Amino acid sequence: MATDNFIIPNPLQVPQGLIAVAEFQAGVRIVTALSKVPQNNPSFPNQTAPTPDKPIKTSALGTPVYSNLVIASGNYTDIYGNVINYPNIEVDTVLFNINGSKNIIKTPIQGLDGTVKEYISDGDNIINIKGIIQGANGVYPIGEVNKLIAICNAKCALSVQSDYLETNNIFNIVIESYSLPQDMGSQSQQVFELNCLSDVNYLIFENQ
Amino acid sequence: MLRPICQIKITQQPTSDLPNRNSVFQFSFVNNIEVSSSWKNLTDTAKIKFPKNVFINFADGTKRKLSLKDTPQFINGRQSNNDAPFVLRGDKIEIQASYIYIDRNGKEIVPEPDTIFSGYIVKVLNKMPIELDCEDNMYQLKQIFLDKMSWAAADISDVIGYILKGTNFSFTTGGATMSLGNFRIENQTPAEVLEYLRKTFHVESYFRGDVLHCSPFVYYPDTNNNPPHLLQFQKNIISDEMQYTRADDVKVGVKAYSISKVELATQTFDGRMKNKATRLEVFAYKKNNGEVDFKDLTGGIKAGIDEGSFGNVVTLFYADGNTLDGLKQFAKARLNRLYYEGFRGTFTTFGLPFINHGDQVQFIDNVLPERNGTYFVKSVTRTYGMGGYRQKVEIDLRIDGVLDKTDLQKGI
Repeated sequence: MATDNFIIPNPLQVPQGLIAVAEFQAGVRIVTALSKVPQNNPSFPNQTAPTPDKPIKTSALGTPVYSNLVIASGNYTDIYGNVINYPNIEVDTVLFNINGSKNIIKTPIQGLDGTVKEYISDGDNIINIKGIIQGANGVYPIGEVNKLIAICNAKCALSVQSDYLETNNIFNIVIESYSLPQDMGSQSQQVFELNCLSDVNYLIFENQ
Repeated sequence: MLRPICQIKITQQPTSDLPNRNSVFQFSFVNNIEVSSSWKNLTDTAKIKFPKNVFINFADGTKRKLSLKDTPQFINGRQSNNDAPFVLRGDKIEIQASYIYIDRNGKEIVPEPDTIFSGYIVKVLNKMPIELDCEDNMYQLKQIFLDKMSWAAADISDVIGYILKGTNFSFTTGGATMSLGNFRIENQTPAEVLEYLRKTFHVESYFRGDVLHCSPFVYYPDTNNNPPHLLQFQKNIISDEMQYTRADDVKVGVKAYSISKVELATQTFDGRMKNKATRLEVFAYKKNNGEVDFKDLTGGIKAGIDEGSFGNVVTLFYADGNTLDGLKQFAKARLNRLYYEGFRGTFTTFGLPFINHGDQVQFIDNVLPERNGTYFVKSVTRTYGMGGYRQKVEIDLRIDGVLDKTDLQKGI
C-alpha cells in the first residue's frame, strides 16, 4: 500500500473508510460496555431499560403530545362590580421556558471584602410560553383565539395544568404580557407568546 | 448567607358583638415591619404591612379569603367565628424575628426568634397591602381611668403601685426611691400619670414585657451588669450617622431643679390642706477653661448667659433633697457625664446582635482604634422586610473612661 493512502490531505475531508471504522469501533465499545452491565444486580438497581414516556394524547395530525397547556376557566370582578367569566383553553402545541430567581439583599460594608447576603425569598418563576393554536386546514381558529384573548385580558391569576409546569410546582400564573403575531403565509394557525409569573396562594393558619 | 425569619401571632379579642372571637393566627411573611423602641417615648410602636390577597386556614379545615369587614354568620344558633373580621383594634399581636445562619463550624443555627414587639393593634388601615399600627402594653394603660387619689407625701412606688392596681402588670423602679411630695390623681389614665411624671419629674417609663420600668434613672443597675454587645466597624456596622466630638467642642448645659412642698395650716375652699412649693434651680455649664460654673435660677432669676449658645440644655429633676449645695453637686456630676469625647448619633447594623435600649454597645475599630468605646443605647428602630433585617441604634452616654462601676451599680 502506498504511503500516500495514509496521508490525510485536509482535516475536513476525512476518508469515508476511516469514519466507517471509527463508527464501527465506537459501536463495538458501546455494545461491549452494555453487555457488561450486570442484570438484576442490587448494586445497580436502576439499570433496567427505561420505559418510554407515554404521550398524554394524540394531536389532530396524529402526532404524540407529551406536554400541553390547559388554562382553567374562571371569573373575576371588574371595577364596576360585574362578574366577568373567562373560558378554559387547551393548547397541544406549546413550549415553555422557566427562569427562577431569588430575592437576596446584598449589603456592602466599608472594609469588608465581598458583601453580606440576606436571603429574603425565592422570586417568582418567570415563564415564557410559546404556542400555536391550530385550526382546520385553511380555517383560522377564531373561536379558540377569542378564548385566548379573553384569558389574556382576565385581571386575575390563572389556574393552569401542564406536566412540565407541575414538575416546577407551578399551578397558577399571572400573565404580564402577551403577543399574538400573524405568521406570514399561514392562515389556519395562530402563533402566540405569553410572558408570565408564577403565583402562589399564601395561607394564614389558625392555631388548633 | 443570613436568612431572616419572622413570626407574627395575632390573638383575636372578643367584643360585645363577637363574644366568640378568640382565635389565634400565625403567619411568617410580611412586606415590612418597623418597630420603634426607646425609654424616651413612653410607648413602643410597631407598623406592619402584609398582603391582603391571602387565605386563612381555619382549625376546622375550612379556608377563606382574608376579610376585614365580614358579618358573623349564625349556624344552628351558634355564631361562626370564621366569619368574624380578621383583625380589629385591641387584638393582641406579637412579632418575633431572627436569622437562620451558618456558624464558624459550618453548622446551620436556627435560633429561638427574639420577640421584637408585643402589644396591641390600635389602627387597621384597610389598604393593599394591609397596614397595622400597634402599641405595646402602654395601650392598656391608656384605656382605663383611675379613681381619685391623693397622697400627702408620695413615693414613686406608691403612685406606680396604685395606677397598676387591677392590671396584670408588675413594675420596677430599679431600687430607686423618689419623693413626689403632695401628689393627686384626678380623672386620669395611668398613661397620663406616667406622662405627667415624665414631664414634671423626668421619671421615664417604659414596658419590657409585662414589667413597667419607671424610675428617675433609665439605665438600670441590673442591666448595667450585662456585657456590652460587640460591634465592629469593618464587620457588622453597615452605616452610621455618628459624629465624633472632642470634649472641648461639646457645649452642653444642665438645668437642675428640685421642688419641695410644705403643707400649710390653712385649707382650700374644698377642704384640702394648702401647700407651698419651694423650687430651687441652678444652671451648670463649663467655662472656656474647663471649670464648672453655676448660675442660680431660683425664683425665676435670669442666668445672665445665652442658653442658646449651648448646643443642648438638659433639664433634670433632683429628688434627693432641697438644698442648693446638693443641687449643685448633682448638676456638676450630670454635666461631667455629658462632657465626653466620643460618638453621638445613630448607626445601623444587622438584626443580630439583638439590641435593646438600655443595653451597652462596644465599638471596635481595628483601622482607627481611637473610635473604640462603650456607650449606652437610647433607642432602637428595627426594620424587617424586603430590605432585610436591620437595627438603627441611637447611642447615648459614653461609659468607658466617664462612668465608673459605682455609677453603673447605682443606675444612670
